[in-house]
Formats: sequence, C-alpha cells, structure tokens
Amino acid sequence: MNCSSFRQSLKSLQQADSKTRVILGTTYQSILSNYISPLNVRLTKNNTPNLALTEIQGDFVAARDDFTARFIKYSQSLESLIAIDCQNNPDDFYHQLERVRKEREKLSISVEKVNEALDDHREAVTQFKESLEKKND
Amino acid sequence: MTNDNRTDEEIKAEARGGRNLVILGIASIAISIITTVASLLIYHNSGDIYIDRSRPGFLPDKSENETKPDNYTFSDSGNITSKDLEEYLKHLDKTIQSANNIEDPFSSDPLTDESLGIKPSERK
Repeated sequence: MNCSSFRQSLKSLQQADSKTRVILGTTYQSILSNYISPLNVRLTKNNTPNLALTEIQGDFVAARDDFTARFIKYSQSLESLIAIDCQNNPDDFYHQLERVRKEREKLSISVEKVNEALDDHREAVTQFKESLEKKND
Repeated sequence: MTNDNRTDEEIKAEARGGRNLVILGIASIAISIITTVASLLIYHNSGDIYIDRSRPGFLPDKSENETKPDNYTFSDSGNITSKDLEEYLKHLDKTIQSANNIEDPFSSDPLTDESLGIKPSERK
C-alpha cells in the first residue's frame, strides 16, 4: 500500500469537503433567514399563516441541522482514518475506510433531504402565488 | 532602620509573602493551562473544529471571497401580492443555484478503491 499517497489524497478530500460544506451551509442559512423565515413571519403578521409553509420550515431546519451533524460525524471518522498508519495496520485502515464511506453516504442523503424540503417550499410558494392570482382575477 | 532591627516574625512574613507570590504565579499558569485544554477539548469534541475554516490549511481561497452574494432579503412586513412572490421565487432560484453549482456533493466517488488506488489484492 502506498500510504503517503492515500494520506495526501484523503487530506485533499478533507479540504474539498470543508469548502463544499461552507458553500452549502451558508446557502441553507441564507435561504432560511432571508427567504423562508421572513415569508412565514409576514404571513403571520397579516393574520394569514400558511400551515404548509410553516411545516416545511420545520422540515427544512431539521434537515439542515441533520446535515451539519452528519458532516461532523463524517469529518471525525475521516480524521480517524487519516491518523491510522496504513503501512502497519492495513486491516484497521480498511475497516475505518468502510466506516467513512458509510458516513459519507449518510451525509449525501442528508443533502438530498435538504433539497427535498427546498423543493417542497418552492412548490408551496408557487401554489400560494397561483391562489393569489386566481383571487385577483 | 536596618535588617538587624527586624523581628523574627517580620522576616518570616516576608519569606511567606515571597513563597505566596510564587504559588500564585504557578497556580495562575496551571489554571490557564487547564482552561485552555478544556476549551480545546470542547472545541474538538463538539465538532466545531470541523466546521471552522479559520484553521490552517482550511482557509477560504481568494476566489471564494470574491464571489458576490445576492443581498436580497424578503421583507417580513406588508401585504403579500403575487408579484411579491414572483420576485421572491426569482431570487430564491438564484440563491439555490449557488448550491446546485456543486455537482453531486459528497458523492462516493473519491473514496472508491479505484480513486484511492487500492488494488484488489490489498482489499481486506
């Protein structure tokens, strides 16, 4: 096994993942604080709260929090993998690699869940917009 | 007044004062080491270390800092019209696009045996 090469690849992956998390994390935060939250507050202030949109906000927050927690778990297992001396402990290295793969898969699923909540939100807003247009016609 | 005029009690008090000063210094250093270690442990175990990009080696690229964010914020007051929501969706799509620019985030590809260069004979 070329351990120094593995370590270098994994460290590069760690840095790339960190960058991806920041881009996704800041985007999710921006969507929540600049769009979803103010829209629901405005609807409530107008005494026309939209139950579907409120529920979706809860789903979005839960999905985003799950994404952050999954990223931390994945990063911890990746760091443990990098720390293993694969030259002397190839079995440990491979078992840990399997764990990291599973954590990465869960992380990927958590991103999909955030996207699903976003799609639901977009759909609900579009329906709400159409209902307003019908009222005005 | 010379040193010879001092009583035994005064000499002992001075020695105690010096010793206490050394103890105070050592205690201060010990407390700061304990609190620093405790904070680093909390920082590491809470996972905050993994979402902190101010660490060496994880600092943002120059190009990342140059990307201009969409500063739009939907107002949380006033009546809502379909036009407001149209504007809302337009900006929302733009913001979502910045996340969608990352193709298949956290895909399994970089960790496959092939990507890492692990030969079939080395698999356990």
